[in-house]
Parts: sequence; C-alpha cells; structure tokens
Amino acid sequence: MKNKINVYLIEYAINAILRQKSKSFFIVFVFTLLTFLLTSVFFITNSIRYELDSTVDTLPQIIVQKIKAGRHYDIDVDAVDNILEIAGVSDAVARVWGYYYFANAGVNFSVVGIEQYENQYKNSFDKIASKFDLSEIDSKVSMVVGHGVKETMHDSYYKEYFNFIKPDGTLKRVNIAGVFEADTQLESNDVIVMSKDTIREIFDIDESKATDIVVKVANPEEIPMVVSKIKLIYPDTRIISSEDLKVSYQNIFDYKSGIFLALFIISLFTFFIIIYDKSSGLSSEEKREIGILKAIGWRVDDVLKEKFYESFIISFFAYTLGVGFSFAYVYIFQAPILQNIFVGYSQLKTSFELPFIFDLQTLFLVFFLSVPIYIAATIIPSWKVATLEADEVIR
Amino acid sequence: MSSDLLKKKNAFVELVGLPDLAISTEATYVRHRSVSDIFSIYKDDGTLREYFPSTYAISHSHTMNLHSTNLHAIKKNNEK
Repeated sequence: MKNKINVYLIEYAINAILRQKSKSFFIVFVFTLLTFLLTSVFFITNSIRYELDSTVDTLPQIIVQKIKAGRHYDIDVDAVDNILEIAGVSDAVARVWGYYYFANAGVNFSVVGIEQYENQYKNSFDKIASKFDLSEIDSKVSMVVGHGVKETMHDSYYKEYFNFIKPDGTLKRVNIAGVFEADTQLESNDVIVMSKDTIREIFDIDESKATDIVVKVANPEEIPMVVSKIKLIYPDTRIISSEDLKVSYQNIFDYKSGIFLALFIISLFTFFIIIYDKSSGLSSEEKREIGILKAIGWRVDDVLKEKFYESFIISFFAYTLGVGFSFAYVYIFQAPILQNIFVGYSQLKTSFELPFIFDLQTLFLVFFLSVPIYIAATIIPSWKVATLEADEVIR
Repeated sequence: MSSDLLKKKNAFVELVGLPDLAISTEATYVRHRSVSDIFSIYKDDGTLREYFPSTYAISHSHTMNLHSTNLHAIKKNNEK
C-alpha cells in the first residue's frame, strides 16, 4: 500500500530530532511555554465566564437606577408605587445597598440590605450560611458575612461583632450572626447582608430614599415594554434589564485591549520568531543532509514525509505538553500568579476555585494557530531544497 | 460544577440580587461592573488614567454607553 505510514521514516525523524538536541529542546521549550500561556489564560477566562453564566438567570429582571448630574444617585421610594401600576409588573422592591470602606484593612465591603429576615430569606440562609443562629438574628442587630469579610474582620480582632462608623462619626455595633459557605465564595466573598433598617442607619439613608429599584415582570417577553414605560415615567433613570446583564457577562473580558492585547501580541511575535527562523532557509548542515538523502536514493516526497513527521512530532509533543501543564496549573493549582491579573491588587483576596470546563474550542483554536503553521514553516523550505539536484545541494 | 453547588450559588445570587463576581473588589466599577458605567473613573478626575490593574483584564460593562462600543446591533438582535 502506498499510503501506509512508513515506520522507518518515523524512526529516522525521531533520530533527527534527537541528533539536534539543543535546537529541538529550545523549540519545544518556547512552543510549550507559548501554548501553556495562551491556554491557561483562556481556561481561566472561560471558567470565570461559566461561573457568571450559571447564575445569570436568577438575577433581577429589571434594575432601575437614578442618575443625577452624571452620577448614580438615591432614588425615591415613592417610585415603587408608580412602577407597580405599570401593566405586567408583578413586583417592585426598593433596595438599599452600598460599599463600606474599612480603612483599617483598606478593603471595600459590599453591604446589601434585605427585608428584616422574612421567612423566605430564612430558608435560603439555612441553605447557604453556616454558623447561623436564628434566635440571635431576631433579637439583636446582626449580619451575615462572606468568607473574606469574616477573615478581614478577624484580622482586626472583630470576632463576634463589628463596629461600623456612621457618617456622623459614631459607632454602630452589628453582630456577626453567620458566615456564607465557602462554596459560594466567588459570589459572596466581600458581601455583608443585613437588614435594610441597619443599613439606612449606617449609611444615613433617609427612609424615603433607596439605592435602586428591582422590578419583577410576570411575562419575560414584556420586559422591553416595561423598560420603555419606566423610562417614560422617569427619564432620569438608567434601566438595566436581565438581557443587558447577559450582554455584560458575555463581554466581561475585552480581548481587544488591555492585558489580552499585550498577551496576544507577545505570543504572536514569539511564535513568528520561531517561524521566521525556520522558514528563512535551512542551515547548510540541514541542506547537506537533504542532499545526501537524495543522493542515496530518497525521493522528494520521502524527504517531505520525513520532515512532516519530524515537525509534527515536535510541535504536537510541545502542544500536548503545554496544554497538559495548563490543565494542571489552572485546575489543580488554581492558577497562581496569573490569577493576579484578574484580582488586581484588591486586598480582599478570593481563593480562586475555578470550575472545571473542558473547552474544546480553546484547544482547537490554539492547536490550529500553532501546529499547522509550524509544520508548514518546516516543510516549505525543505521542499525548496529537496527539489534541487542532489549534487548541487551537497556542493 | 455539581448541581448542589449550583443551587447554593443561585440561592445566594437570588438573596443578594447583585450581578458579578467578587473576584476583584478594588473599585466599585470593577466589583459590580454590570451596574456601573465606563465613565465611573471620570467622576474622580477627567484626566485620570485607569489605575486599577484588574481593569486591564476585566472590561467595562458593554450595556451602558452603547455608542462607544458599537453594540447596538448585538443588543437589538438579543431583544428580537
């Protein structure tokens, strides 16, 4: 059979790779590093996006914010009544939430208010919060905090309670009633949940004001219509629908700028240095080798086959190595160092627990960007040499 | 992700009702980027550059300021 794989050619190719140890090692090293870096970044971003997408449907359908003088501003609670009158709206709730800057540790907490521990909330607290004492919540002013918040407070010796500093400088003592489970850390790490009344007191927000309004629409098809109606009644608002949130989640990583642009440019240049080195002509030694092979009776296609095996083995080996490393690096070691790109220098560190996604698209993308190009860059110059007369090449 | 874990996460998100992950808490417009806008930094000073490293990776929300991102078409398609 003509198309049968020639084992001797493969053997020769492997020997050829081993003969040029330092050069092959260098190519494998750079190639592995390149695929490792690219796939790792893609793996991390994919996991983060998967994490986001898994909860996007539980988010509020419509969020209404008030904008004043270009800034987000407190909205009137009265607006809830007007919004409830719009046909199709089944519920509207004024929310109070904000950020508390804890100067001692230099961190921002997200403080979220809920209605004074209604039954429905008690159920969900049971599910997601540990060390949770129901009786305490009813009797005292208390809060449920995320894992990161607890740690930060512990570091400042707040174990049972925390003193919030109110705008007038006085202290508000709030007991820590529970901690959100570590499983939800990516969502809950910096969150403090307490009753709306307590938040109003801490941030000095008037009873008639709220941070934003959340609207529930019975029929999801009607959301755009309800949005336009709210916009008509309150032209000074900014309205974010669940559809907007989905678009926002899709575009969380801007591959066209920032760190990604830098990464892609560097990867591309590194790769093209290898390619340039390969395609800018063979060394005289390699030329001689092809010449001798031809002289002892190899045909052009034998030479090209051998070169194909050689480049395929080396690039595929490096690719698999790179992908294997990045799987281990991202999903077993949780991407140390690289995750700092996404964390920045926020003091309230989340321990990254990225969900495992087997993303074929990324693997194919990196594969087709690297392996075939490398093979082509090896075969084309060899073909140029192999088509010449043998004695011409050796001389 | 196991379904139990997913349920917990969804229960938490339902309770709090706020989008985005607590990966980076450096600035409010990074923490809750979906309910923020790209002009957030402009409020501090019109001549400031981005000074939080995470904003080099985490993009602003593309739902606000549609004119600056040419995403009209995407949004319209989604609404259809």
